[in-house]
Amino acid sequence: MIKEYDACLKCTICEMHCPMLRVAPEFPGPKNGGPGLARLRAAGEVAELDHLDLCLGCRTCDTVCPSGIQPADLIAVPKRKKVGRRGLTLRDWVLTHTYMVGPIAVHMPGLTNGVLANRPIRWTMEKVLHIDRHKPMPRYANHSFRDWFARHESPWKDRPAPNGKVAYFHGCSVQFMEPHIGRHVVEVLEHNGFEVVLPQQTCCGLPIIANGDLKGASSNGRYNLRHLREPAEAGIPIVVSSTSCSLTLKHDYEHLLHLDGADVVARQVYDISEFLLACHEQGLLRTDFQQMDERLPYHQPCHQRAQGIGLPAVTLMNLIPGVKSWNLDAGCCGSAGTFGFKEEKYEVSMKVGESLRDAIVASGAPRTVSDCETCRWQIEYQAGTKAVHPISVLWEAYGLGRR
Amino acid sequence: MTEMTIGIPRFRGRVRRPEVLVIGGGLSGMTAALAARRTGAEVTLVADGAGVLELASGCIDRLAVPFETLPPAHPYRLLGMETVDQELGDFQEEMARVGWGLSPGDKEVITALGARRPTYLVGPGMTAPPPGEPVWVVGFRGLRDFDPAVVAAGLGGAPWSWVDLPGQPEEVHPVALARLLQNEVYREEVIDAVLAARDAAGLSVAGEGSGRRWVLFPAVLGLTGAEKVQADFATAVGMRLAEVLLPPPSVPGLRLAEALRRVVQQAGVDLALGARAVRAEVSNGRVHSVVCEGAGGQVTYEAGAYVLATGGLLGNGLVADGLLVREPLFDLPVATPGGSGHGTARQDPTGQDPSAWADADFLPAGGHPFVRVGVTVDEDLRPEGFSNLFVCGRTLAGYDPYAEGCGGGVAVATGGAAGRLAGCQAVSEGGERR
Repeated sequence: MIKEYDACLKCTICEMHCPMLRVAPEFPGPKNGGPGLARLRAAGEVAELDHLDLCLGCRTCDTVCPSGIQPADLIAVPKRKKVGRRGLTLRDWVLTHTYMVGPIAVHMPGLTNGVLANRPIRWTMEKVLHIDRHKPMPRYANHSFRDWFARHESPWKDRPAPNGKVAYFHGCSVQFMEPHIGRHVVEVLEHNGFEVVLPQQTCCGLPIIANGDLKGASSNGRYNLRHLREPAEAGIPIVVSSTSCSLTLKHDYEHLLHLDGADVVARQVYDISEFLLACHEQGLLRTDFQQMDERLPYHQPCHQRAQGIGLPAVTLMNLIPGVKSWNLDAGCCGSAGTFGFKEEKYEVSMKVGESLRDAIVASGAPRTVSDCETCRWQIEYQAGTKAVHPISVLWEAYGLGRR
Repeated sequence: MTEMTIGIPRFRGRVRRPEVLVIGGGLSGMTAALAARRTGAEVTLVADGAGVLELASGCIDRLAVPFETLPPAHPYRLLGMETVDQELGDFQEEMARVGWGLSPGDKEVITALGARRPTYLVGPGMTAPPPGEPVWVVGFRGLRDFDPAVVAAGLGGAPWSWVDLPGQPEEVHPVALARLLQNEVYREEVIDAVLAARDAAGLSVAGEGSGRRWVLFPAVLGLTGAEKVQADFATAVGMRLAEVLLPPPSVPGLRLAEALRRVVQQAGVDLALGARAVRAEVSNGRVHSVVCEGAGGQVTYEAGAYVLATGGLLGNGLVADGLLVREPLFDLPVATPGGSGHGTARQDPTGQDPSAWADADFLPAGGHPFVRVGVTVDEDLRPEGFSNLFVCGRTLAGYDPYAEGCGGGVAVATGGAAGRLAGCQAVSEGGERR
């Protein structure tokens, strides 16, 4: 590995911005836990620090570092080594492989959701699996997104779409839990003259990466790349509605997992809002929005910010007459994917989320907008307001629900 | 080529077209983005890493030496002091919009060594007591880099006390403590400990000189909610309050940076953090596009006007290889000591004399010549030959923030001016471009 950590000037800017360091003083922080520890490791020391696993993986430190270091990956090195040797714990395996349950769960959502909301069962899960009993589990839908897509009729089925094809990577939460978001993506794209195709896909692997299992995530990655390579090579844009999936496809497959063909696919991957805003600025987006008169505070997911693509969702929503949207800029929601569901992390994750909760409450708005599913679930749980995906706001503004 | 691919006749890939692109997210870049936005332009700001605001004092200097002593190429001479003061006033107004009150004037703040440092725009609770006023210095045990005895001695002698924080932590991070103090329950506990220390020091309100005395705390009394935290401490202690600057990381710097980010985002600037400008396409003095790269891939920005605010030698806005200093993105002319300021500075093959770059004294009154290294521009902050590129902040030549006490002022004034010029130009040309 290149000694990039030697570029660390100890300027502490990462510490100033780290959302965990503000609430958990025992966390060694990105400077000490990242480049600091990496130097010791390089010198052959057995370098370990307690509480390193408090890292949220939010990549705030990567974003603010003026010296081009990526402390988040350096912090993860010891955990990845350990998991590489021993494999995931049972709890972490269960939390990161819910997509395997999905196909069954969507056929019996009442039973599944009932079981996952049952207090004695949650208590048992906490005792046996160390999955915290407080936070509600995401609810499975009564149909999968792909089921809906198969039944749905494209306006471009008999004639060529004027703006060509777009491939959609919907990810697990849209497939099993929030198929309506997938529907909104498809209908907004079709409204704008794109034909949507659905490549075969599985979980992008980000939760598995975050829990340290690079080998397991690589097999997810290879599967996805096998199916995404063809549209990518044909120059078809691949849009993604979950910002964690898009970061994984754009960055982690290539730079962390070093998978073949990852660069070809990464070049074609777009966050859905990023794609639509680029369309708008290139004169391709319809702006036949209806008046909405709503203040829409936006929470920027950490993995969206880490992409360095700005705030396309805010810019898009502000195109709607009557809408005032702005980035709350109140830090990480605290959930950080599976992190907030773990028994030993639940409390600290709620503490991290307090600033965002306060900002949402202070805004007085009944709905908050965010592109990441686990951010939205955390907001609905902690701030008690509704949280929606930006594509749903656009879908409403286009009047697509009233067709 | 994406744009040529069959099936996607029109979509051009990752191409964005804001009216103004600001490159750099420090004080001058943020100010530029805001000023450009106020002209009505659509503005995107790209930044590779945060600026150094979070490490700085949270105060904005203006000028600590007489204007007449400034060299001809000084940014203040290019703009004129009237414009400089106008921009500082605008900045103050913008910050007030998000509730961050900065008070202007010939102010002083106190450093962790007990020294008085002159400055101009000062955040809440930071203005130093007038010389000669009685003070009491309080330190929190576990907060490193702040020793009340050192501050008291630096001020020429004053009573001082240590206060134990709840739980008596061995070490506490200033940012974590600032956030903790925003919690009412925690704050009450700390205030109780401070009151006990006050009484132990014999400075209770009933005592001599009460009401006139100032209490000095390390600058950790809250983040966004600092004013409330400071007021609670002042009221409880019964003294006027001032915060004392710590070495970096700086809580007052973080407050200013967060307030500035808030106002910039509320104004509707598209803030793209975590992206580095890697390449520019220029022809006939006109910048056509700038390519930026982040974890989310390469994005090409085709803007109408551009603001360069990438910082100086420390911020990587200028890079030095020995005596060869370059501006890496546009290869702009850089003025170096002994150089004319026109054309890229080259290391003299015959061996340029490095002694022209630095004074023999470590801290010379007039500063070191190398500090003034930077890009030369005209009165509209444009480098020679460029029509739609404006430069601001530490990238500029001709000033010494340390010797002249003008760093923050130059960043704000040139940032504001560059942003306004870029915004006006892009908006007036906007019709033709689209």
